[in-house]
Amino acid sequence: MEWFTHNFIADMHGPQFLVFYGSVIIVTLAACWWATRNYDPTSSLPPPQIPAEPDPYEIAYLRGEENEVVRLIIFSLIQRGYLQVGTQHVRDGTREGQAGQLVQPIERTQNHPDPRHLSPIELMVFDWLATPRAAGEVFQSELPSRIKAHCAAVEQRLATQQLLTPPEWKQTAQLILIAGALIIVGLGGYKLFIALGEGRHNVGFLIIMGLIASFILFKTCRPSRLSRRGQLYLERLQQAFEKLKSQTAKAADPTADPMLLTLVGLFGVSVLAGTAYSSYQQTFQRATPTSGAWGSGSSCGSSCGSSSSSGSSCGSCGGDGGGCGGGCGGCGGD
Amino acid sequence: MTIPLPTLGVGLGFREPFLGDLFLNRRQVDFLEITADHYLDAPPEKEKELKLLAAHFTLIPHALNLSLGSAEGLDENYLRQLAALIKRVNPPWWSEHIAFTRAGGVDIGHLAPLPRTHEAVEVLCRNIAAVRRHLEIPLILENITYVVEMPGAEMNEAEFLAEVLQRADCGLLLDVTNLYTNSVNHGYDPHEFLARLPLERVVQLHFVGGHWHHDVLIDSHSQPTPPEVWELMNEVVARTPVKGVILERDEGLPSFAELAKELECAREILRRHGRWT
Repeated sequence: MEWFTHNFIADMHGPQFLVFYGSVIIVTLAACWWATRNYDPTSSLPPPQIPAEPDPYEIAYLRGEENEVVRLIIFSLIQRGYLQVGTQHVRDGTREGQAGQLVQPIERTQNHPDPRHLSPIELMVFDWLATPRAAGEVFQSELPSRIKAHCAAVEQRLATQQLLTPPEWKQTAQLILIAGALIIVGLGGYKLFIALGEGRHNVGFLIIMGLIASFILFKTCRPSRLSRRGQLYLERLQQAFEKLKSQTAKAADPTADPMLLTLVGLFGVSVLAGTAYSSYQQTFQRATPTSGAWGSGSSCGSSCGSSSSSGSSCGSCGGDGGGCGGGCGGCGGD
Repeated sequence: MTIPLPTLGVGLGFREPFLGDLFLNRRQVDFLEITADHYLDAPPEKEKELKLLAAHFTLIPHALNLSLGSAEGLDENYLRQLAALIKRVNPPWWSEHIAFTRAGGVDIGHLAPLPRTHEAVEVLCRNIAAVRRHLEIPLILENITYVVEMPGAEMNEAEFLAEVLQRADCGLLLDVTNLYTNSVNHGYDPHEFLARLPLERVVQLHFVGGHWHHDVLIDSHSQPTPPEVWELMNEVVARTPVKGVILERDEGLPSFAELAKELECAREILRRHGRWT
């Protein structure tokens, strides 16, 4: 065991080792970052064309999976007069540390249109809101997972377009992440073991460096839900429609803007700030999902659309495709 | 201009505020003209914008500041940047103005008319030859508006344009609004003017409307296209197979639906004369 406790690394003095360790960390992080970005099989593919009629539901799903689809369906139902943000506050017991806080609920309107006009997926949300509920409850309930089951076809279509990270590449990326972690944690842990074995306890910097490097490695190199192609497509969609956000906010009657639903799907509820729907924006802005259902952080930050134009995703969002209005009307059908 | 050029249809001079509507109305815009100067030495956002546009539209770069009429020659740095951009975009043609924007090393900030002399024609041809050493992609030249007649003219405007196009062997980007504006401000018949132009060299048209200011028609690109310009466009399209028509709106931007109506009017003129299906 002599070689284990006395070698080039074990005998290195503290400050020297920290410089060496820092260099190893930088090289490892750079190599892992480069590998995860450049070995993505979609990185050489051009993103799909931006559709002339973007499908808001498919965009929302690409951007934030079922949670974004739920938000969009609720917003669509509010837009069409089925639901409203209630004025009678209810207790939101779903949020950690804020149990019992009074919030404005989402509830049915008194004179809502005939729900038979709704698509199956919309009807599911409408039924779930038979009693007023806090927005936070949406993400704590079984509703998102039930919605996800209806979005299988959308998921499949996005995967076919190589917008989602393929499972085999996820595995490769995970291996890269594990290899990086082994180098960083292994080297630091080994030196820590040697130092403690020799009775030295000035290991604070070593531990901090190892922890920070591991955190950075995890944040930058963990496989994202969207492939490189998907991320680029999402960026392009947001870039293409960015200007419409301010136009909608400035519009005399943004409620009549047919593009509003697509913008919510593309950028999230924040686009509703300052419009007639700002109460909905505030309600959902506060209700951030706490589960992992948002997928990767990177994908949530941006947005998306679909190269396959409207109508298609409605069939999948709607499950059996019944009552799908198509296009920006989404799963409406009325 | 012996290179066969593709027919592009009816397009729009790209301006940033149109971006979102442009993608939602892509079927109504056959191609885009981009202001080349906006993408020279551009920040990353403009680079991304250019990539986005190039992935969805045929782009025609339109340069503003090459100053082809400058007797002192071209700004080599500007020319290199412009050539790099045009090669990257790889358009079927690109365009510049028959004008100068720089004199004595000073950028004068607008398109100034050239004296209509044989010497000015020589200067233009020399500068265009210099451009061609950097770029093989066909260059077409645009007629500009002018408020003041330059003294010492040896030929009239139509003769000057014809001479330049023939000597430089370039296509013409005929701005029918400029033609109409000059005819109004300088009191000549635009139809007679057209009759004296080598219309077979017309590749592309520009159209838009301007506004009146103290009895002078200003080419402000701020108004809907007036009937007189539509009439001139109709006459040109009837007589020559133009390859592309661009609506060039810059000021007082209306809703995209209004722009689309104008594009459709232009497309209808092309269809009427069998220039577009």
